[in-house]
Amino acid sequence: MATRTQAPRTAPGATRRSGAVRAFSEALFLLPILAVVGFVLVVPTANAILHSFTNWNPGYESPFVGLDNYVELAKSDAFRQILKNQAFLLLGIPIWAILPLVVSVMLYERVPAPGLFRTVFFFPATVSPAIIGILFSFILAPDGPLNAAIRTAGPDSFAANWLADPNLVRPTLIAVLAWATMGTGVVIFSAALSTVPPELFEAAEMDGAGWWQRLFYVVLPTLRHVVELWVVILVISAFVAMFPWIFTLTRGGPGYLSTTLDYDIYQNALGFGYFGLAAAETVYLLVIVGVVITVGAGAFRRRGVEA
Amino acid sequence: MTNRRNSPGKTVLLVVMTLPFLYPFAFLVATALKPLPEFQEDKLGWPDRPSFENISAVWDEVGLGQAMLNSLLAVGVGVVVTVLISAAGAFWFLQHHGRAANVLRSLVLLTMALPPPVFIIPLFVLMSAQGLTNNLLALGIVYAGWNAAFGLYLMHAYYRALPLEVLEAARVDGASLLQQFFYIILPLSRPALATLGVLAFLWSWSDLLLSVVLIQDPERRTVTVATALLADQYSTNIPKNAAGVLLALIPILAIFLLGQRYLARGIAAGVGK
Repeated sequence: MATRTQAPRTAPGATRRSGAVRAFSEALFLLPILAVVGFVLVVPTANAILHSFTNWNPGYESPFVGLDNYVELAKSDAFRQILKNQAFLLLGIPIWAILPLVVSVMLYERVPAPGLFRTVFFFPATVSPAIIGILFSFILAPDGPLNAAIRTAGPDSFAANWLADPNLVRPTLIAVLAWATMGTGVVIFSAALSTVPPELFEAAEMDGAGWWQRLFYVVLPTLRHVVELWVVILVISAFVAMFPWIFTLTRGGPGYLSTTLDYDIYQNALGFGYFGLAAAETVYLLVIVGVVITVGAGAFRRRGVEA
Repeated sequence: MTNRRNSPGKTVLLVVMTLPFLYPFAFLVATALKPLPEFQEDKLGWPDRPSFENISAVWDEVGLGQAMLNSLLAVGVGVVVTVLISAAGAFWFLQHHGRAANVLRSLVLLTMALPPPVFIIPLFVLMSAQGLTNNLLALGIVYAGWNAAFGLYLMHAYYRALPLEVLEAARVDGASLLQQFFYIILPLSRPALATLGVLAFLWSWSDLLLSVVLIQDPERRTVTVATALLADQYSTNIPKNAAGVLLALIPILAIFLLGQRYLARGIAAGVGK
């Protein structure tokens, strides 16, 4: 034991030097993450903001144009349609939130093999949205299995061109997303429910509350913070995670009726070469995400405290 | 909820609700194993003589085998770099919790609010200027940057719950920082590393936007992009498309089965992206 206390670092001169060495070697742990995050996320985002005020021609002179890109977007019919599409998608939020809540409550009550059910619901949530999107393009095709099932079960007129009909394309997207978001919702709500004492619900049943009453007056308030957090995540996803769905299911059509902001950024820059417009659109998107996060910050904080 | 008794009606209802989640995969397998002429006659049934011709066709002709290797390379680099830089960064923040360090940590965590659609176009412009597009290693680094903030959050939360007297003792014994990191911190945080690794794998493997923009060379396409573009190439040959989708699903299924434990834990604890 005594030999250890004789280590040379106990000498006063060496301590200061080894302090500097230590700070430097410590920094080696921090620098990689700062460098990678800086290069991949921070510098490009700053670049997008700067170039949103220019007529951006990558590789060439990009003249400053002030707010022209923003104004052009605001005046464009396509961009207005895109904002309407985004608003329409938000109508899916109650569905995307309540469906997994109902299923996780059913699983919380005693059913055989709840883990197996959770696995069935959860697996699709781990598959690439792009892959699920292609799969659903088969299912929803005019002569695909969904229409075949409808023709077998009922009148032919209920069969439809789900992804090409202007009235149906957005509701169809909401339905596909309900399928895709179910698993994550069930996992999150099930984890939250597993910490709730069963007595809470038993008391409500004893008082004569029906199943739906218990769901809305007992479960929902108890899981309020988790539900809020899930809704914030869903709202953000409806703005920033739509690209693979649109790319594989509709390519934004018919017309602009299913184009989302993230798909249009891609299309403007790499399809049409309008990099300046895409940059301004990026800033709009950034502002939207910022507002949603600020409004929803409470949900994150409360959840952080709980976890 | 409530008295938690077994209710057959509810179980039947749940079974019915799983059908829409199981059927698409059954349809996928049936279609991928069906030769085109048979599919044109019978779109829905199980194939009379299941055949692997579609699968071997997309593997070779369309180069899905190559795409699979490309994905493995980019995603593999992405996962290793994500785990290393997140664990190392979290180790630094474990030892520095002054005001400045906390602000810095919040700033890094804040980049979780920068989704790919925000940074992909300028990143593409910057990377083309440096000749870094069509480069699977660079794509791996991009995946790491995209996942690192979540990784830092997860690892830091995990470290803080560790019994750190061990570190103190190791320091007294003269262990260097690297030794502390590799011999104490990393082995102690294996479950968190596994969770992060599984999530980073699935997120990166699933990516379409980053790879479709940063890789144009058909030889270097990742499997998600190659599968998504199959439809353009064989718009009328659904069985071939289905075979591609089935192939792309296999690695996801493997990771899902191997890592389900870590996955559910990670999502429940951190509520991913």
